[in-house]
Amino acid sequence: MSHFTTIKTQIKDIEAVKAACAELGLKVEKDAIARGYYGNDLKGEYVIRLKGPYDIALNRNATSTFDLATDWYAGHVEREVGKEYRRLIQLYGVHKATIEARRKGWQVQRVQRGEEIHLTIIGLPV
Amino acid sequence: MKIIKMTFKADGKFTLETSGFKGTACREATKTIEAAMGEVTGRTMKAEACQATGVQQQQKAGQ
Repeated sequence: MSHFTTIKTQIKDIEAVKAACAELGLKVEKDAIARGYYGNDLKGEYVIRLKGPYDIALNRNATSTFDLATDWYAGHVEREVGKEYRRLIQLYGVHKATIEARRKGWQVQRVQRGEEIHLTIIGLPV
Repeated sequence: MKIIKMTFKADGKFTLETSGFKGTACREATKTIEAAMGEVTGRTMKAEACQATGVQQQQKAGQ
């Protein structure tokens, strides 16, 4: 039997975050300060250093997933990672799924169709 | 051929679809990926025929 699953992405893997950021041309720093508006900086276990004046702080929560925090003022962050981090989360998901599939020895084919990214995973044992 | 298809939308959501699996093997194959990705918010078994791989599978399907 086969199935459809809908999943709400949770940020768990910093390597996948780094891969997503690399694709966006962004760097990730460990134990850093994320810049905010008017000096309202935020400490992050990891910080995504954006090209604009503000950054994104990542801190692990009680469930061991990462919470993202940033300053959305004037649209600087939205322009780089999408509204509500959507572009970043999309790419994180793509890279996380790719990492997990390759860890199992499966092959991953990636295709972009408009704003959607499609992964086809093959090579599963018969 | 067993295939897993994942669609990542611009709004940050994504869906996972499996095909070519027999019995409940699809759940087993995707269990690790689903857990690694996040919180499952919905699952629908496809309408295609559920093919049993042996007596044991048939018994499980009949429960």
